Amino acid sequence: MLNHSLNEIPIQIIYFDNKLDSKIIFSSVNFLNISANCDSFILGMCKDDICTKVSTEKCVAKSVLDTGFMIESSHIFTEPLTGIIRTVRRFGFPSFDGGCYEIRIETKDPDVAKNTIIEKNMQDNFRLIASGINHEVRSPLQALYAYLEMLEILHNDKNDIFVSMRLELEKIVGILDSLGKFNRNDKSVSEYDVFSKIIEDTWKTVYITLLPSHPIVLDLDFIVDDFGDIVANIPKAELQQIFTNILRNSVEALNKKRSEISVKLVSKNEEFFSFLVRDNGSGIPNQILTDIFIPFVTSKNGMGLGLTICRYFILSRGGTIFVLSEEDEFTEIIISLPIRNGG
Amino acid sequence: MPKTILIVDDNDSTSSVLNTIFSILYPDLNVVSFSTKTAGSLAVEWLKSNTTDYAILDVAINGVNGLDIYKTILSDNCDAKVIFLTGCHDGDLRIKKLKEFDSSVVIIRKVASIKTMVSALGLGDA
Repeated sequence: MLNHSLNEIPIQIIYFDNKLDSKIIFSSVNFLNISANCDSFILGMCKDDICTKVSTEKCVAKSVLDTGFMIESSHIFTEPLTGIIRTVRRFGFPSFDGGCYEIRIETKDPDVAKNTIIEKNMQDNFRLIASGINHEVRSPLQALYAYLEMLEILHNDKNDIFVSMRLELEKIVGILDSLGKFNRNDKSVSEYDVFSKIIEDTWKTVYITLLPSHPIVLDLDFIVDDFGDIVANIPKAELQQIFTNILRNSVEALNKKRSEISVKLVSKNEEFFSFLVRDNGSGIPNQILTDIFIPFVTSKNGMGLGLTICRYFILSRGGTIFVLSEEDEFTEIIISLPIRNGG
Repeated sequence: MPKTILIVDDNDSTSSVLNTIFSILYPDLNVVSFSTKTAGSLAVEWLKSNTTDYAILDVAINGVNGLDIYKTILSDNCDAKVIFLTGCHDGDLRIKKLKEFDSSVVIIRKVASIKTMVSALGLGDA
């Protein structure tokens, strides 16, 4: 797990221009001005709506395919930022002629580092609130559920109204169950497993669960790269939850005759590995793509908590997650995770 | 002598509706419930002069909690069938303490059906 010193923050940049080799120079777009072979850089946000979004709200994941850039940051940059490059780590992903860099910088601006801490506090607070709501709402809901059962007993009848009431109550229970996933099960946080096995096991479960409602999985090509003996430094239960959420989203988005979901290894070094989960489904609508990690934002009938939970688990374990998508074409979830020692 | 079921939950509605349902389903059962914020201490006080054969207990009650009531029940009737009905998640400290005391304890997460409770208590068909 990454431990950031007070003034050290990671920034991830994905670019789609393969002309950039040893030097990472983005000065041409006036969005980012950085050079990998020098020890300082200036990061400025000053272009069009991207800059506005980045500078005025917490930027979780931005897909800006039209300009060829995407930046993921949990920080709010309102002024150009100067700092020292600590490490530059490159990982490409095969579906574009480009690559992805993680640049860890030491900034002289403590406010930026403070934002990292604020982000973490916000996550912790959200978890606490979710836990509190979950506990407090269950009791009155239990009473409602029991009252409904009593009505059914008294009327000796399962009419449509009772059935509808039960379904609605079960939806609320579903929301609470989703919120409950923010709470780590203490028993399971010490269990780790080989990455490829977790994918296989999770896929089997997702397949069986979704088969009745999504028969498209029968003809689906599910392709998984060889991940060898990689063990991610994230508990098995959390990784299963991440894959369950992502794979469910992928299956639910499939709408083509030749449907495909693939899990590909993007890069690996001693500390990290990166992979992407790609489906050729309906994609994520542009209007919600930038907010896709925000709780209850969804284009489907679900709760809109799936990717929020994924991001929460991944970031809290020192990883990163991006989403790239094009409507009616594809969705790619690109995840970077720390490798467990010995894995 | 009729058997007794004790229901303790600091949520008034939960306790009340469970009392009503069990009274309807099992008219031969003596149903006793406590449902105020001090439900735990009231239940323990009641148990000083009574015993129960079955119990549905909330875990998180202020003051005297579900575990305290459980211990009191067992001290008089170690054959009593007790289930815990709780809004707490598995990682909750109170659940951990409960499992440390008795690893075989039955914990049911709210929201649960009456059928689930009846089955866990071994009450048989109504």
